[in-house]
Amino acid sequence: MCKFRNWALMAGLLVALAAQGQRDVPLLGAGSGGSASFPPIALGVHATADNGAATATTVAVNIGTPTAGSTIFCNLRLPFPSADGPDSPSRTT
Amino acid sequence: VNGAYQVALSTRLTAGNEFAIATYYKRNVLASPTTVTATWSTTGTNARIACEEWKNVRTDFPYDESFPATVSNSTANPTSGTSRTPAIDGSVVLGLLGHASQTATAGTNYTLIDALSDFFPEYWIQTSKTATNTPYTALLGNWADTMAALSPRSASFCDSSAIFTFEGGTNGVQPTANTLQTGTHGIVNQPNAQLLNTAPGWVVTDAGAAFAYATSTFTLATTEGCPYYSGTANEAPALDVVKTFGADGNVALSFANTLTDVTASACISTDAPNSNTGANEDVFTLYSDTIGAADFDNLIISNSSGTLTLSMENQAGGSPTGSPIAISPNTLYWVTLHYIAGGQHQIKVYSGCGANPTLLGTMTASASVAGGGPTQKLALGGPSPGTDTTHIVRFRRGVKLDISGAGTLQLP
Repeated sequence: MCKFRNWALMAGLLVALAAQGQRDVPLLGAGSGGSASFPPIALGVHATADNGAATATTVAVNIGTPTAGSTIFCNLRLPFPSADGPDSPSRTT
Repeated sequence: VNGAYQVALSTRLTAGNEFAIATYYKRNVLASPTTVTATWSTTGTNARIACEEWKNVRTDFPYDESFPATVSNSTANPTSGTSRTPAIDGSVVLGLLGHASQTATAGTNYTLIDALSDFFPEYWIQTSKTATNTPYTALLGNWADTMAALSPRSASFCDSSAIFTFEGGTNGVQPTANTLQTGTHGIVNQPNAQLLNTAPGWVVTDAGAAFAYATSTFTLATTEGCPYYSGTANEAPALDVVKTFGADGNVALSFANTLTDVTASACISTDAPNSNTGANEDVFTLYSDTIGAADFDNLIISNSSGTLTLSMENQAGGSPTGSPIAISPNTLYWVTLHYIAGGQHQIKVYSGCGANPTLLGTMTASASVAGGGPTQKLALGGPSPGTDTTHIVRFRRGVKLDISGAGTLQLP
């Protein structure tokens, strides 16, 4: 298998987590697929930040302290000032 | 900075190019003060970020890869297109609306998390999984509507974001995209997505009757309890990859998003029948071919003077480390691929496909070209035409895949 095509790299976007301990991907122990009882999904801490007219290449939001084991879900709106803007933002770490 | 987020969806307005929107997540966080920072490459104004914590979701694979959709349009009352159903009861459906000119209110059953102009995250916690398309009420104007879902917490075992069982196939019959899709769990075509790249889904490239479903009795050693699939894949046939001279092809799954870190694992056998002779042949590959520089992490089988081996191939010029692994006829092997875009590629080969298989060897290579592209496809069989002589490999049940970016090393 040999492929030699060259394509433009996608614009990058890094969403990083500051000041928070991070676990590696957990692998639950091998089990039987049994179901433990857990509370239903619930919305926890949340916050929004807006750069407004400020020119920048970052935007940050402090959401407070989540509960251990939760998922942080982020929505992002990026400026799109020109054709070379991030036409498909993606994490590139 | 203690860690990166996984990209979930991204899109932009197709008319006017006003802005791009995207969603990201980080699972299983610790309880500590949290600031999330997004960084991009082109200076601009009016960037906005909204993050929320979702409690009591799965700690391993919370993001429902079978669910997301994105649509851009300019009609009144945006939606994310054809309704889709989350994988499991108790999921939360998350909507995001980027609107160029109007304010919006949440659709029926949904609650807005905040109501900032141009940015309207909404959610619906579904007791029973229900088809939906994240509707909003808004006047005419350019918009992009995306939806995603998170699965509720469970103690059940899951080590993959997708599993392919080959169910839907008929013994002796060649696979089709539709039959392959029937056996695909956890990642599906996204008919609502406006994709910037190759459309997702299965494609069969068969230049000479190289594939057929076959009977098999193998099952996964560990029962999966993922939201999208439960069981041991014992309802399905196997898939024979039969290569004869000049006959080369593959079945390949293109991913909806471009991915930076993907693992894939499978049980292969050399008993179907064992008539392997000749040069190298592609068996199992993760690769990039149309975005960034082409690159691949490819397991190949070869026969040297009657000795069968499994080895690693990457883009031309690469120099994998680790010796080729001698294999035997009529034997099962568990193989894993790990592709990191622009980074390390790895292949592990285990003896057997039962619980706790013995590791026979590990082969690694750096991305063989600068700027090696993201993972775009998974291929079973040869991703490109060749003139190799006869090789036969059988994919047993339960090909596993992790596209979440976690690099999970799956075992049988």
